[in-house]
Amino acid sequence: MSLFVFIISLILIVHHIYLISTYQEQFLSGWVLTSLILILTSYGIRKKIRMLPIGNAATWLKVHIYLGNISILIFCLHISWRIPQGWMEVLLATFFSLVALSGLVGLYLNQRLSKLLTNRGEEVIFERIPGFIIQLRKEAENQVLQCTSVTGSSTVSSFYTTELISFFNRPKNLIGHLVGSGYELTKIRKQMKNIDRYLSDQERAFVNRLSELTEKKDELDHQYSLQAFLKGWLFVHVPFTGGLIILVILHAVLTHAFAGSA
Amino acid sequence: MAESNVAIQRPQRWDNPFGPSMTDDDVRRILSLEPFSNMDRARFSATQSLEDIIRNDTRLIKYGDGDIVVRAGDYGHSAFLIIQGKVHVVLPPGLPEAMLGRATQKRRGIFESLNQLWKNARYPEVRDHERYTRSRTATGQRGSDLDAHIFLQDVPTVLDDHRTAILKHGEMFGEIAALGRTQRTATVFASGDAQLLEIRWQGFREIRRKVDDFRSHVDTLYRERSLTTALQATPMFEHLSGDVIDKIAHETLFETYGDFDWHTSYIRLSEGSAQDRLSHEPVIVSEGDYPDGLLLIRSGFGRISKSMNNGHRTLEYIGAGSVFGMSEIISNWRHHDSQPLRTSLRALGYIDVLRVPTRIIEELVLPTLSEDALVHLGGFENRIDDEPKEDADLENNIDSGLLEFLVEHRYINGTATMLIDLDRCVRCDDCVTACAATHNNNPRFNRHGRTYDHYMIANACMHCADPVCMIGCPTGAIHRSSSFGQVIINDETCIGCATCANACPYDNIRMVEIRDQFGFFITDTSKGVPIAKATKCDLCIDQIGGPACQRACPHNALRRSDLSDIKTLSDWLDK
Repeated sequence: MSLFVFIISLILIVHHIYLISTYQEQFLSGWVLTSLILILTSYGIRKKIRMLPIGNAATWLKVHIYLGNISILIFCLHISWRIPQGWMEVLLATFFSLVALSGLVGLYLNQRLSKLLTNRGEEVIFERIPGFIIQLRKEAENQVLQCTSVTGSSTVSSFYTTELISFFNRPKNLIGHLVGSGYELTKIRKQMKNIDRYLSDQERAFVNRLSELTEKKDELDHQYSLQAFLKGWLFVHVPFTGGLIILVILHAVLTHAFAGSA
Repeated sequence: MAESNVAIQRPQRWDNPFGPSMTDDDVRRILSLEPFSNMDRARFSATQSLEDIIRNDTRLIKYGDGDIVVRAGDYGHSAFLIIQGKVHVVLPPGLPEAMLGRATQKRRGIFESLNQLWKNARYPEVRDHERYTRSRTATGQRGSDLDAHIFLQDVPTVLDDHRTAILKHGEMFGEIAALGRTQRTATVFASGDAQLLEIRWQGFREIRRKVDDFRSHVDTLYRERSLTTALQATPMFEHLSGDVIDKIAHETLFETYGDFDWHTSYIRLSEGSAQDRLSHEPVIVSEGDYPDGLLLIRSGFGRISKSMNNGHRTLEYIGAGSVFGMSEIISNWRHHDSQPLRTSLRALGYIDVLRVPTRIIEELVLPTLSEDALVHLGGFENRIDDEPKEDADLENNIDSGLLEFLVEHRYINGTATMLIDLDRCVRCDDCVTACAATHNNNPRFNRHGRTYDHYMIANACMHCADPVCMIGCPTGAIHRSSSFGQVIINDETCIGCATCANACPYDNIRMVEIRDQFGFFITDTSKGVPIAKATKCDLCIDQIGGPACQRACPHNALRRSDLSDIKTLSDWLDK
């Protein structure tokens, strides 16, 4: 009985859309776009239902990307290639643009960053990087303390406090790593070279070890930065998709409610 | 840091005897029994006397009524001699899986699968502890850790329901498995109290080598029980009549090269130089040798290589079911020539080989094969008069460095190795999440492992062709699934002894402490310590869609690969 009611309702809705579409083409493009958005969203649901054999995630992603690109075109047709007016349309267009743009950025990042991750440094699991950074920092501090106690000089400890402490404290140079800039490391190397002329042989051995730790830390920063961006774009794409769906429903209700006046 | 090298006594073969509790009286008593009493002790060297072999390569085990000695399907590395009492050998169709302490796998339905979305536990490694007591109906367990025995609760009923053969005092069984580390073909359980002498493969091989009668006895058994079946299963012989197969079997030599304990030495060797590694791989046949026989690989792995400057370049690795030397034999037979072998074959770890003499192949096999079959079997381009193909790796487009990497670290053992293309992987961990979702929120692998170029072999069970983890499990909890041969652990019969985890050369088995649904550790009633269980990837054996990790990867970066199938591997790498 419920299935029968559902089918009858569906036929009536489709018929209503068809009637309206015959004199307002935006309704047709709007409903096609809505359908596409719902199909695109179903990829997220597929990712949650991992236990059922409903196709490989890779195939779903391919379809998601193709339909996503098509939806951008249909969106442009829907708004007749003009800048939307009225707060509702502007809000809707902003959400759509953010979702589409973040999707395209994500696609680019996925293709580019995975290769960059492989090319430099050891493969590290993202969640473990802060732990490794703490280990490196402890070892660096240990080197500095030992240097002070062995040589009785504060040159290396002062250098560490002023130049290196913030570097070892947390992931650094995130944007730099994303765009392939080694500015932070080059700067530290230069500073180490500058201080080298004031060091004894004993101190130099400690600084050399600090230099090795700096290189390792930079490799971890590289991994952290790229992996963070690989995950980060989803923090825009997914929440705005949720918002977009709510706005789309609201938009559909409003346009159909006022369809007769058009 | 140490200031000088640390000197220790060089490790010796018998530093770790098989049965540490063998006394002088035990050794004397065993030597007085047949077949040892009839052996000519002068044939053994002074440093490896028969007495030494008995003392170090054997152990005495007592079994109670119904205790299972070996299970059909287990991987053997030893033979047994009945010292006292008798045992039953279960004849086909054998005992049901559940009675052998194995899991009876049932795939989940759609609703059961969906249930995992909300029914998965909140704590790690949660178990329904009542299951452990409920499951012990047909079998029970005696002893603990490595001395544990699974026993049949109701022997009379088992005897009523199943056909068995009885082996008595002085009889031996398990020789074939001990020779070739193949699967046990039948289940054996004790009838009343029995005492058995278990002889590990090292000692068994030594005795076989030194004592003619013993060798002839074992070889006859092998020919009768195993060889004919093995030959019949070889595609190029399958059309031949029984008589011809018998003739071939009569002439076939069987040879074993290398060391069953490869898993303990390859890690050390992989750190050495390429020359060092090669020197430890026994040569079966060398490039330039006359092909005096067709080599059929029964078990283990071999490296096909070609000399290159001062080293050898790996062209291909081959495993069970492969054939070596066919193209040269066909070519020589066709052209009445005597061209030598163009490549060498070495044992990787150990290899069990059947050598069918060239004369027999030329007389009985080649004339019966069609032109197409000869072209195919010989690996010729299009016609039999073409030059045979060379450089299999180039043909398959697998980077030779990658091939060496797979061989060096023995990843070739994997039938479902988790291979990740890091150039495609975006480190989203969808594979790990999918694994956890299908295993009660416990991921069964670690997305980490050795890498070569942009390929990673992740720490996930590879479901090996030679599963060394299965050797020595006292309860048979780790076993091959009867459906698709996945190596799985029956959680209900696992006693947490860690034998499998310690044996796995790839570190892919984890010991975990189990909890109840409220997150409290389930403890042992006597000692109060948490109960441990061995866990690993089961290739989603109970899931309707197969391995969830592979299906969940959105970038096609992860694949469970059978590394013996180079062609499929090469296709995926090329994608």
